[in-house]
Amino acid sequence: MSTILLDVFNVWTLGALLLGTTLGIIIGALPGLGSVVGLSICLPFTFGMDTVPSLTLLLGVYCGSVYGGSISAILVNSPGTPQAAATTLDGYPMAQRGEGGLALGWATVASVLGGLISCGVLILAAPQLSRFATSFGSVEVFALIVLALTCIAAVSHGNTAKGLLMGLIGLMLALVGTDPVTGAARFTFGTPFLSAGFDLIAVVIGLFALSEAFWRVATGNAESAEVSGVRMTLPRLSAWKGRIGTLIRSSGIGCLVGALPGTGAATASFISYAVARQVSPRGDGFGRGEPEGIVAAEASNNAVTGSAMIPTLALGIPGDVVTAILLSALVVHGITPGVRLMTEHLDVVNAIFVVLILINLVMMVVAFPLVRLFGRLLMIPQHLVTAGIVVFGILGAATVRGNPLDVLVAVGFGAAGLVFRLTGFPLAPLVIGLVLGPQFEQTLRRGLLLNDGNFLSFFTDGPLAAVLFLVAALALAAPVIGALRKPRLQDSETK
Amino acid sequence: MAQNSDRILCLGLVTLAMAAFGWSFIGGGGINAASTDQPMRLPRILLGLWALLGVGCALRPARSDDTSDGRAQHLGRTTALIGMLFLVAVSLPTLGYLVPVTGGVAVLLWLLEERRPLPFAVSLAVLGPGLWALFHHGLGLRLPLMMSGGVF
Repeated sequence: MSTILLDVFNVWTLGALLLGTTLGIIIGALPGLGSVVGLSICLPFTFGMDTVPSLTLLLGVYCGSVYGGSISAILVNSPGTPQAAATTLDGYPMAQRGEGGLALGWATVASVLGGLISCGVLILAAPQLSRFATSFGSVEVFALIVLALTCIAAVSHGNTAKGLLMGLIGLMLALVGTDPVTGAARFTFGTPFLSAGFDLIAVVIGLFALSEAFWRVATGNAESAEVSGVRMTLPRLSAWKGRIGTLIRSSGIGCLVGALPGTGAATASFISYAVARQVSPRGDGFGRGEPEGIVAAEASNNAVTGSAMIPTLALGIPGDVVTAILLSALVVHGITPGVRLMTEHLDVVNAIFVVLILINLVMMVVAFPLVRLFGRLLMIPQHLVTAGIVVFGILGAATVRGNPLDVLVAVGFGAAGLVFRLTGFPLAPLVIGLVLGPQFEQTLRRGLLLNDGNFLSFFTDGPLAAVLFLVAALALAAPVIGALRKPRLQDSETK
Repeated sequence: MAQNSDRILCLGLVTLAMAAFGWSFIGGGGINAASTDQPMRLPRILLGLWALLGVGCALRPARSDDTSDGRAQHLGRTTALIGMLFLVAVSLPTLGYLVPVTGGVAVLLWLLEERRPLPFAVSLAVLGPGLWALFHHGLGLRLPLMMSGGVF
C-alpha cells in the first residue's frame, strides 16, 4: 500500500497527471485530433520518465480527450472526438438556447461520475479475471488472442474481410526479425536494422499521427470555428431527480461495451443514448436539448475508459488502439504485457487504479478554466497543429530506440496509413495484430510442441479453448449472416 | 473511382503477400531437421491467408456501408510532403536531427501555405531548434547527431 502511495503521490506522477489531463482535454476539444493522435504525439515525452508517471501522463491524455470532445460537441456542434458525437444531439441545441455553460456542466458531472463508476468496476473485475487467467495454458491464451482479433475485425467499419486482412498484416509484421526460437532471420532482407523487427511505437506514430497529418493535407479538412467565452455552470442537485437512473444505466452500458474488444466509446455512447431515449419519460425531448441525452452519452463514453483497461490489465489483450498504445508504453519500460501482468507487476497495476480515480477528479477541476479558454484554443491555426503533429511524430520515432531509421519506418507507415484511410481499411486491427503477434506465435508454437504438432488437438484440449474458438467463429460468422439476411429483408419489405 | 482504388490496393496487398511468400523459400529461415517447428511455417500460413483475403476483398461487390475517411483533394501537395519527410528520414543518420528537421519544417510550413514572415519564423524556431533543444538538452532524450559527440 505504501509503495502505491509513494508511486502515485509524488511530484512527478502528480505533475504528469495534471499535465496529461489538461493536454487530453485540449486535444479532445480541438476537432479532428482525438485520443489516438493525442497519445501518439505525447508518447515521446514519456520515454525519459519512470513507468508510473509515464502511464499517468498517457492515461490523463486518454481520459481527458474522451471528455474534451464534449466541449466542442456542445459549443460548436463539431465533436472533438468520435466518442462525443452523440453529445452534439442535445448539447448543441442547449448551447443554441444560450445554455451552453449548463450543458457543459451536465457533460462534466456525467463524465466524471461515469469514469469513477468504471474505475470501481475495473478495480473489482480485473483482479478476478486475472486470477482466472493465470490458469490459462498456451492453447487458451492462443484462443483468446484469436478471439480478440476476430472481434476487432468483426466490428471494423462494418467490413469484416478488410478488418481480418489488416489484422493478418499486423500479425505478419510482428514476425519480421529474428525468430525467437531458432534465431533464424525472417524477412530482414539482409539488413541488420530489421533483425529486431519493426518498432511498435514507430509504427503507431506513423499509422496514426503522421497519417492524420497527411490526411489533413490531402483532404484540406482543417476548418476552424469561432466561439465566444462561455462559463461552465454545474446543474443543481434537484435537477438530477429522475436522471440518476440514466447516469447509472449508461455507465453500466459503457462498462460492458468498453470491456469488449474492438467496440469503444463511440459505440457505447450511441447505445446508451438510444436506450435512454426509449426508457426515459423525457424521451420525447431527446434531440431538442434534453440534459438527460448529454448524461446518457457522456456517462457511457467515459465509463469505457476504465473498463477498456480490464482485458488490457487482466489478460494483456488490448481492446482498441488506445489500450494497445498504453501496452506499448509498458513494453518501452521493460514490462511484458500478458496474462501474468497483474501478478508480476501488481504495484504498477494498483498505481494505475489510483491514477484513474485521480484523473477523473482532476478533470472536474481543470475543466472550468479550460472551458473559458476554449474560444482561444479554437483560434490556433489548423496548419500549425498539422505541422506540430508531424514534428512530434518525427521526435517520437527518433527517440524511441535512438535509431534514426525508425523515422523512415514511421514515414513509410504514415504513407501506408493515408492510403488505408482513404480506401476505408481500418487501422486498429493492424496495430492490435502487431501488439499481439509475438504472443500469438509463442503460444501457437508452444501449444504445437506440447501437442506433438497436432493443431486439431487445440480444439479438443480443454473446454475453455473450445468455447473461445467457437465464440471467435460466431463473431466472424455474424456479419456474414447479417449480410446474407439483408437482401432477403429488403426483398420482403419491397413485396 | 473509390471501388477501383480499393481493388488496386487489394491486388497490391496480394502481390506483396505473394512476393513475401516466395522470399520465405529463398531468403533464409532455414530448416530445423531435428524438429517439426519451422521458423517460416507460421509466416507462410499467414501470408497464404493474407493473399486469399486480399483476393476476396478485390473480388467482392461494392458495398454501401464501406467507409473511407474522406476524399483526397490535394494529392500533389501530400505526395510532396511525404517525399520531403522521406528525405528528412534518410538524411537523419548522416546529418543528425537538427539540420534536416529544421529544413524539413521550413518546407512543411511552406507546403501548408504559411507565408506570413513572423508566424513562419516563430513556428520554424519553435518546431525546429526549440523542440530539439527541449528534447535533446532539456529532457535528456538523445536525438541523432551530425557528428558523434558533437553539439548537433
